[in-house]
Amino acid sequence: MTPAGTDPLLRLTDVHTFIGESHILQGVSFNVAPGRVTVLLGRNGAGKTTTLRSVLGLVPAARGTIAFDGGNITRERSHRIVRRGVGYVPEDRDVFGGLTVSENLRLAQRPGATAEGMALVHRLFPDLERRSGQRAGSLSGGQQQMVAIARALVNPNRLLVIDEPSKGLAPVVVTQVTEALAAIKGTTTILLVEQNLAMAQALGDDAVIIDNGRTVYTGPMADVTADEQLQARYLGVGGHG
Amino acid sequence: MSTIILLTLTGLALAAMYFLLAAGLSLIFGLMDVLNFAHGAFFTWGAYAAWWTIVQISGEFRATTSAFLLALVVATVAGALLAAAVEVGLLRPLYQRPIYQVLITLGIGLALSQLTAVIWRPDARTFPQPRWLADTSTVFGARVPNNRFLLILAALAVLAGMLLFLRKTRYGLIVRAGAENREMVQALGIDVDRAFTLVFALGGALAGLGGAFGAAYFGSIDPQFGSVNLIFAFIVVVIGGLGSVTGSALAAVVIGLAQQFGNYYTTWAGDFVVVLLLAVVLLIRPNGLLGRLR
Repeated sequence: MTPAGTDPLLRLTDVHTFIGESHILQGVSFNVAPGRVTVLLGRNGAGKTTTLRSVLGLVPAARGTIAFDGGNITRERSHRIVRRGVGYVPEDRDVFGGLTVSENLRLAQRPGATAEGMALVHRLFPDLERRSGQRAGSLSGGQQQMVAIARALVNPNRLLVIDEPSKGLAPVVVTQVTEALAAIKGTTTILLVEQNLAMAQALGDDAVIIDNGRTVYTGPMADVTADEQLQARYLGVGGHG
Repeated sequence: MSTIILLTLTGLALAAMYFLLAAGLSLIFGLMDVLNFAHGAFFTWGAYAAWWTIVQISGEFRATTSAFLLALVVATVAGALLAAAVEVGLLRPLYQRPIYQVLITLGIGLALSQLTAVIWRPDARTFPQPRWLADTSTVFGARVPNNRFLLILAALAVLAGMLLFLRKTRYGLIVRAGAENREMVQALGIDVDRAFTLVFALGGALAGLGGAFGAAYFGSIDPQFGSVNLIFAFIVVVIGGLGSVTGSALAAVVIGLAQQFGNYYTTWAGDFVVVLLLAVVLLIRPNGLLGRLR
């Protein structure tokens, strides 16, 4: 997954995570290469979101190690991990509904954020500039997703962690979000969870498949696209179930 | 007519004192989901810090204006420091255990009241004020103590300051966002623990300031001073809507006026009307006048 001679930007080694008494991640290991889009695939409940939340420190890993740019972040607090240059777009958008669009974006700006980040956001999502004074809670689901992505993009990120950006969105909005992510592909490293295989194929360079809390595949996204048996076995795609 | 004016202005001053106590409570609950039963102790310590400062500077019977103003500052700082120490030292380890939080704030409140009695004696102390503050002014025939006006002005200034803080500053944004989704605030790279300490200290500062003004309003203080007023402050917070500063201001006015008029026209109705109002608001608007759904 990491091209020869290149150190991974993110490395998970035998990560175990519990939520309450439930042993959700039971040995997740993979690398995220710099400058590439790594897609995390798996059925519902496989542990994809928990993996992302463990990387962010929101659900700390109980065992194993998570390293970002060579530094161990396994026990680091979330805000410190994010300040290392990690942008996060959560599964349920989690925009602050009582704040305006502009306030959501201002709040997300970390020290070191530049005007370029805001300009990029307005270029990718011109609708947000027009609605800057509107309360985020009154936006449509698609617009809220744009706010959630924009909140991450206002900062210069070294890694973008994005959880199911297409979830619950109309196809036309999915296309818009896919185009926006395609536009930033190559400018930053992305770790993406996505159930929508078409979107995953459009954006992904590398793939990681998680099943029952364990890594069962790491390799090029193109190989997953070509391997229907793999898709049927771990993603529930096709007729082999 | 003059009685109505006197009752109204005195009721508004009482409302101002309740607001100073309730605003911090509401802010702390809004961001941190902490029901802070120690808040009354911050109020008491603010009152005693103000009293102690005045006594050190100008003696037990009459305060100079500069001593009184310094006392306000000392009370505010004392409330903030005490609150910050409680948050960092005792509450922070218990954020995942809400029941423990309630118990520990109750315990802190009781312990601080007892400590106050040990340090400064359990009996009431007269609160010295500058002559101009204890004097009265005549408004449409009603002779109103000047400290009522000062208390109302202070509460209006605090309300304006808090609204500016919440709407125009980055920490205000953090507080408003944190009240909605604390985890997401952290996931944006913001140190929520620091915001918690700041909000707790701000609440303590307001309680301390309220304690000093409350002491001027009642003219005397005792170790139970804060816990008695805390009950009404909680009622103000619930009627106003948990987490809403403007709601607290509105509810404080309703409670202050109802209590004053009730107490004047009957010997028993003041507190009863307050509890009745609480019951009615909870039945009709369970989230309070300006509260959001939680």
